Amino acid sequence: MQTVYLAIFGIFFGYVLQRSRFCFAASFRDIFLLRNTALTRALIVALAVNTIGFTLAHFFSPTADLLINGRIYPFGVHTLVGGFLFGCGMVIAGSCATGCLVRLGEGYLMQLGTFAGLLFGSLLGAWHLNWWLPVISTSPVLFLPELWGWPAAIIMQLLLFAVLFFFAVKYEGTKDVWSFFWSPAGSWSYGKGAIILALTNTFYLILYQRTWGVSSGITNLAGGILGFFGVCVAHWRYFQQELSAEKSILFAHPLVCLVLAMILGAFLASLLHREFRIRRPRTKKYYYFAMLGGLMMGYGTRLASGCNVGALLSGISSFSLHGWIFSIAVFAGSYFGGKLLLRYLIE
Amino acid sequence: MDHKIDAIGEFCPIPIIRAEVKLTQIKPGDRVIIITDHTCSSASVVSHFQSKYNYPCRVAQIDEGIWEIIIAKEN
Repeated sequence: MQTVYLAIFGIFFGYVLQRSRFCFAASFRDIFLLRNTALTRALIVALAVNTIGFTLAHFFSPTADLLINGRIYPFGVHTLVGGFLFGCGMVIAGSCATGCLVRLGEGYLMQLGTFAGLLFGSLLGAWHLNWWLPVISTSPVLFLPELWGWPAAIIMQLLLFAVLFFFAVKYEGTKDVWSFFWSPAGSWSYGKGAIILALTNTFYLILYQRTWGVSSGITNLAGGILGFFGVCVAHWRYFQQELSAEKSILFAHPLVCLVLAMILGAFLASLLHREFRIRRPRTKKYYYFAMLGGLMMGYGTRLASGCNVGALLSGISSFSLHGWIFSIAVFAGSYFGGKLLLRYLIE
Repeated sequence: MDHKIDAIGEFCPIPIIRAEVKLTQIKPGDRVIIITDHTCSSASVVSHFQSKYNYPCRVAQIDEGIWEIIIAKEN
């Protein structure tokens, strides 16, 4: 039954991402490469709606307690390193982890490279996690309402979103503050996508008692594939904390289903709107950069305990400071990734 | 005069960066025509040049998963 729920959510997430062209990678990358903040502003709106949604769920739903069901993790050097690798990787790979699933559904061959890199990188990260554990286990966990109390935490966070939004508008110098609610015919606006995703994440928390995440599903899929080839990863510490040993085979982890359903959702969305196409990358070089970027992202997600969805959207909306630290590192990483893109990927 | 950019197989934001360079090289009144098979670009190119540069844009899906975007450089 749980699998059916997750499949429906996954298909819906994939569908909305495909229709709205909402892109986490571009919300950071375009700041530097294009001096364009349309998607940055849309992401801030998503975060604000999601923060309010999680707060309401926390207080009014008996099934959602952010301290238990939210995404609250320690932050430290590992978050910074993981976020930087993730931010850099997503620019050269042409998508982040979430975007990769959507692009796969739409028929992009380049993202096969990204996906392979993500699988391999997250395995590498899970395997290498022991090395990082002394850092992670001594790092602080900060749940903002515990620090400041609920009213102050909510007000501070929403105020910070407003300030960031204001900076985004000023930096771009746009007069059209809400331009991200516009879209060309045949697709949804970024803003519409942002709001639907944030609301769906809230319903997901209430119904499933976890927050939306992508990278742990990818890691468990990778572990499952390795198990398929006779390599048992069940004794790895990462997989031990995730589930019991006998379950560590392909598809056993519920979030694997969510990941695969997101690809399916994007596939259905593009097929229904006559946008599906097998797309070959312009040059072979794209594959190499996709794999490299995927590898960086996969490894990064294991350090930072999440990706743009799990650590950033769900983490910040759970009032966990690690989400903010991750975002700052992704921001820096995408600047560096943009330099690599300009240097190596543009003819 | 029309200047064509074949961006088939290129990923975001490369088509936008190429169009930005091309638009600085051409005369006012000229147009840049981008052919792209990137779903995100079909929205982001138009959004970028329309709201940031105030250049009138037109996008049409000319085949399954292929779009033609016309950007007119105005004074």
